[in-house]
Amino acid sequence: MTESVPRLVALAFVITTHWLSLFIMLSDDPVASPFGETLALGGASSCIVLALAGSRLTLAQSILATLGGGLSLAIIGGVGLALTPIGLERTTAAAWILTVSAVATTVWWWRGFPVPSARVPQQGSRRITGLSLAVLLVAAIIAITASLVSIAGGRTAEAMPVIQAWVLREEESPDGPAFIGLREGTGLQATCTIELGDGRGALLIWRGVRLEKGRTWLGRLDDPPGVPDGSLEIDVSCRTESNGSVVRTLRIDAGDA
Amino acid sequence: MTGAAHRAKPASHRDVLAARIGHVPGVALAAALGLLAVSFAGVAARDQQDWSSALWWLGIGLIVIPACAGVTARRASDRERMLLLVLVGAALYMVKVFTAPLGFTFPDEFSHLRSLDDLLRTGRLFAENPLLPVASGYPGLPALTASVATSTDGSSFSAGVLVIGAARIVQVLALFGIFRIVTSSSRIAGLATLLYAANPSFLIFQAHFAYESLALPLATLALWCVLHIQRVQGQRGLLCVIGSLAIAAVAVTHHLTSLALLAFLAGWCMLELMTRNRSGLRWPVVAALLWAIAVNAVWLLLVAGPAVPYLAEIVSGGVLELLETISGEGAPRPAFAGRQGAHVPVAEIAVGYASVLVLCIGLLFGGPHVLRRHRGDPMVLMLLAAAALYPVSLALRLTGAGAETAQRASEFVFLGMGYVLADTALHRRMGRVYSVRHVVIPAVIVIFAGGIVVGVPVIARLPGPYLPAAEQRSVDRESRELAEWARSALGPGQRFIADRTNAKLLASLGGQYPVTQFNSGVPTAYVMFSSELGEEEKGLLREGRIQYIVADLRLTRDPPLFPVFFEEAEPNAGRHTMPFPVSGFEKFDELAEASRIYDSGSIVVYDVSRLSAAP
Repeated sequence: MTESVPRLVALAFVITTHWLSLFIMLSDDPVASPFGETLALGGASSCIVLALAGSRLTLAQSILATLGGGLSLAIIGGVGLALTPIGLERTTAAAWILTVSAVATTVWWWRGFPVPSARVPQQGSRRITGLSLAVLLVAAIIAITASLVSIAGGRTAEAMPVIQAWVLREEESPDGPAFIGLREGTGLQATCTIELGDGRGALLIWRGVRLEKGRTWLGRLDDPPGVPDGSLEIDVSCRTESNGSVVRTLRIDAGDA
Repeated sequence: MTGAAHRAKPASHRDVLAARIGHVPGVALAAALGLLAVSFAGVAARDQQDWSSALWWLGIGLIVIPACAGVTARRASDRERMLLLVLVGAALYMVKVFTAPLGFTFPDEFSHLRSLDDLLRTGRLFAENPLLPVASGYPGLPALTASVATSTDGSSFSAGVLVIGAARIVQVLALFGIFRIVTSSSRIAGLATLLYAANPSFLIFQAHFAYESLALPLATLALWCVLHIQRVQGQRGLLCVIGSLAIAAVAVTHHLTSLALLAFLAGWCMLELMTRNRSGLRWPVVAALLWAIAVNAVWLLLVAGPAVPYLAEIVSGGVLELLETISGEGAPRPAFAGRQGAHVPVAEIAVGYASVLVLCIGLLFGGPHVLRRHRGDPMVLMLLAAAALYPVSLALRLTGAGAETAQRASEFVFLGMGYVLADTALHRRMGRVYSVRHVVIPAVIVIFAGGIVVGVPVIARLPGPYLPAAEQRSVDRESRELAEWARSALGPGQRFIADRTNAKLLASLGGQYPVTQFNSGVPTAYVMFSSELGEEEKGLLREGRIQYIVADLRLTRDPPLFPVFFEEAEPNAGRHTMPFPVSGFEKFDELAEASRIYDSGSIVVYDVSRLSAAP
């Protein structure tokens, strides 16, 4: 009786988590749905851990069964569900959870629902010296550092402002005709001077314009009279907070705005 | 009494460690230092430091050499070798990830990113893919990645990295499992797996976010399941389920891998029925073959029919060109003049040739050795047959079209090469002739280095500044911003003409439709090369219903490193020695019907919808 309690608790936990999470996830409630996904992922992970710990497969076999089988099942589950009238819109997560847990549960069932506490490792067989643990820990820290170095290197390389100028279509500029848009795409904040000309002289100058990623700065062209219905030259000179200056001469046709 | 006391003495920490994880902590430390070296090499390469390449090779050496020593160590346990192989497989995968840690940059990855984006956006499979039309019939990778992205609320990139990383671990373990069963030796199995990882595609190509990178591990898993059911007692029901799922998953994930798996199973089945092999059951192989035939037939008939002519064209192109080369009608492709024809150092060329030599010698001696030892084992004969294709793949490298086929074939051929070479090199008789440490490990290092030299172009190993028409090295922030601008300002689904790199980005990140000969049968590149927009070019614009044209002015600065600016269907394709003609872009400035609507300094977009709409 005492031995069966942890099994029953584990089984109840997994079943409840999965069905509760699937129920929440498949509902259209936008607040509950991400919660359901998180819960479902946690449930599936717990199922995998229990399956791995409880099965009598070797370590390699367990990983292959759960990971390889899980990937295969997720593909078949995902494609299969998408082919049904339900579609994939709200079911990709469900497919993933269902398939992973199905593999884990199969492994688990195959071994007669053992639980981790039911297996006592042989004395000494799982002992790892403190030194090797320390070495593994150092290795993990170095590997994480390597990842961070790599990511930082990538970010630095892309940290030059990209200034884009374009003619907005009528539906994009309902407040007036002939706009130009400028934006900076790298996440740096840049302070710019923008000089608008027609090739012979400046028509408009904007100073202290702040360009930020994700925010489009719009310049109206209807302020000065006589803006030519032709090519416009935009001299953009920007200074970023950390990565120096950038100067661009951009040219667009205002006549089609 | 003394002896009994001695036997009863508990194992020391050293003994326990040796038995359980042995070399793993040390190799993990070396691999981590190797990754650190690779990451610093990437930083240095972005600053164009000459020593970055040497640092990168040092990093690779730190990952591979200690692992090789650990895997071939006589006293290592099964678990230790398995952990070492997973470690080296994962570390080499991270080397690829470090080349672009913020997003996908390899051309094939954008094709599959488009499928993934369509799936996440619409929730429907089989959306038309303008970059790789055949991929729309194989939605396994996007379906799986979409599931992970949705479940974790992660980005497409992080979900893709996770999926391919998981597949990499599956592949390494499944390979080790297959070789372990066939050889009954974890030492030979470990070396065979390591030699497989030395194939030219393993480091970068098999780590791409692409359908083959997922399908191949699942195919290997399927073979392991069948072999395990056939020859090992226990777990048969479970492995039947997993093997069947894996075969079906491969069928909906990648055309070439599913056909290769089918061919392997067919050959294996045939040999099982022909020989008097008593090493295992026959029914698992027969059942696996029948199941593979059924799922592939259903999928090809109902969904993926266009894959057949696509594959036929790829394979026949290489074979026909090889026949032309043999008959003297065509000139052979110069060695090491890869598709990305950057300068290859002489030392690397020497290592490349040395690795081919070592592999050929290994096959020459190993083939007969394996045949003598395991004549009646159908699985071994199949592995030998795969290895025998290695010289054929070398011959294909002499042709332009066949070089890609040979490169892709290596991931199948090395399944056999790894086994044949490992079984021969570590055979106990050989131990009397040479020492593993002095002969086998150096040979593996040469094969590994040669595989990288042959399979990974210099410019693909490390990141660096923008280069024109140079595949992943042409992917930069300005092009990405163009794609994102197009999505937000123009809306998805607009029809573009753009160079190869910008087309990939526009289609994947921007959701646009770049029109090409490849996807629409309209040779739009000819519009770009002409110095004037004549009637013929206007006709192409109308035929392709082109709305926008992208002019990347950086293409006019240097000759391309890749053979084409736009696609195969362009003037002088594969023979460009000059930069793209400036007049090709400037002509749009002079046309009243073409409006210059976008400029980011290097990239200009023209609206030509009035031209293509004109009668």
